[in-house]
Amino acid sequence: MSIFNKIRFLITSFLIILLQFVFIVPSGVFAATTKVGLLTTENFAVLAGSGISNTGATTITGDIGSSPTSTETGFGSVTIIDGTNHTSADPNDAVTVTAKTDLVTAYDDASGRPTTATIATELGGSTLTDGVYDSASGTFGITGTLTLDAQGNSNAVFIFKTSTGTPSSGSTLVTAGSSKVVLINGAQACNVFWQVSSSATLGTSTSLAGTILALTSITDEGSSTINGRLLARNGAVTLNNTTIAKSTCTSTPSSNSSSDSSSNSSPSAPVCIDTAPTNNPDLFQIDRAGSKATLYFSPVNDHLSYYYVAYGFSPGDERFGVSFQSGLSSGVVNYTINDLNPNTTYYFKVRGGNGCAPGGWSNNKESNSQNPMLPNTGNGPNNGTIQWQIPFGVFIGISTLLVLILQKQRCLSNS
Amino acid sequence: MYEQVKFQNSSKQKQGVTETAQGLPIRLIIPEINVDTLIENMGVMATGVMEVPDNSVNVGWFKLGPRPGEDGSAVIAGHFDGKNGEKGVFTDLDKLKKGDKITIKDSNGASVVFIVREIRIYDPGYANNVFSASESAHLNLITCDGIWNGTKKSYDKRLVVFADFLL
Repeated sequence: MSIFNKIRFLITSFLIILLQFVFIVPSGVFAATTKVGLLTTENFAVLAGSGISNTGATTITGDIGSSPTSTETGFGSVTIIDGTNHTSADPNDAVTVTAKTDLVTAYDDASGRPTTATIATELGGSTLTDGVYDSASGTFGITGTLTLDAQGNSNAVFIFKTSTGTPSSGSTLVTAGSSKVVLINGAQACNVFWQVSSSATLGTSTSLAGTILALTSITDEGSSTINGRLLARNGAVTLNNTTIAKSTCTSTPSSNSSSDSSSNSSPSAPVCIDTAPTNNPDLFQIDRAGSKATLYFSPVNDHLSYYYVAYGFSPGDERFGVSFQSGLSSGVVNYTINDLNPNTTYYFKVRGGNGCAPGGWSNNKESNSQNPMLPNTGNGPNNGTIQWQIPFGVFIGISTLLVLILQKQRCLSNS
Repeated sequence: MYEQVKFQNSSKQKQGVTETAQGLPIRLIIPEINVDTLIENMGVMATGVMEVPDNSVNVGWFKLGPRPGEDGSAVIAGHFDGKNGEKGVFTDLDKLKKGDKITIKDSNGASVVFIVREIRIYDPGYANNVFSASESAHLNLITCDGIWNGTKKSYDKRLVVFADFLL
């Protein structure tokens, strides 16, 4: 290699490194994981292979179908919102058959993802960020609360695979009663996927976020809430007073990635080049009414595609969060949050965001419960005024008497 | 005259209560601790704390919540001690035991009886389950407890007696 070529090589290398810094240093968030392609199963809330059975008052938002066995039982008490019951209308209709084929593709997509971390079987009590997770045992369980933290990137994707073990050993997803999946910092249920290589069982009153892609069956033991989908390839889906709504992404900020990383075959991470809002909202009023809180805040003035409200039980606590799309506006922005505990005091804050670039937080604002604080019914123990007043009074009285007696005696002796 | 108000949020008629209307609570009687006193109506101070009577003899009913006998928790607060260190109406509230009876007389002359279920100690401030909604009627009595803090002019705990409607 000539000296000229060496110099050209060095300059080229330097420019490449420099360019990487230019794009990487100002980046806000990296989304390393891409969504599982649900294809036409995206429209379904419940999809099964060998039928769907229901007990109690179940509410389903989204399409319903089962193929090749289209049996449905207990559907007299099922309320369907914004969806079609394909099995009821035309068993094994073309839409369901196509969705079942797409479910195989989606399932294989999820199970084929390279694992980013092998973690403990028990997910309760842990907080996880964007990634593809499996466990050494091949199973996952949730007892308590699993927190999924998008770190401000609403495109963050969470994939859980129970495929490491052999199916015959029972690669399952099992949640304990009242367990929860909590989404924070922009995490969205539409970006959470549970690939279960045998069956999934949701304990009573589970609150699950995400789409379950099960090889065999899915069972709700009662009163669970699923913000996602229950998709079973070969087995049945069993519902029991279930509330399920197919999850849709409420904000889909563009990541404006600087490289062509949208292809699944390219593992390179997209880089955020969005510009974050320059000012922070001012959260100046919160109105509480029952289980609702309406927040009023001044808007951000530039570079805005969504607002994100975080709240919890103490200042800075971000255990709950919700984002909503918004363009620039000049007036006061208000947003209502539902499903709060009326007896609990919450602390709220809000920020704007532009695509993958989060803005700064507003002030924390406390929102008291509607109920009053416990009253102060004490005046304090005897503060001592009585103790010294009584002896002092007795002393004055006796002294006066003595003086009077002495004066009397003096008068008598003088006379 | 007191306003005649029908049951609110009540799905069932309750024995011992006027059939169609419920008056305002006017008298609290707790034989076990020799309490027989007038009930005043209380709201909330600007600080968010429930108001209390300005004397240590009467008790205060939280008028923004349910009336005693209505579904939910009716709340009554009374002083632990007076301004000169004398005993308050609720000084002996901690001596109540499970099963003791509490009677409320209302402006219609009707009586409602509650049975003590439990006693809990809270920190000052907001408290769960005290001012709470429910599908059955409860009565919660509040007074102070703990150690006097002269700087804050407050005891450091609150004592709450939880009682259930006697069917």
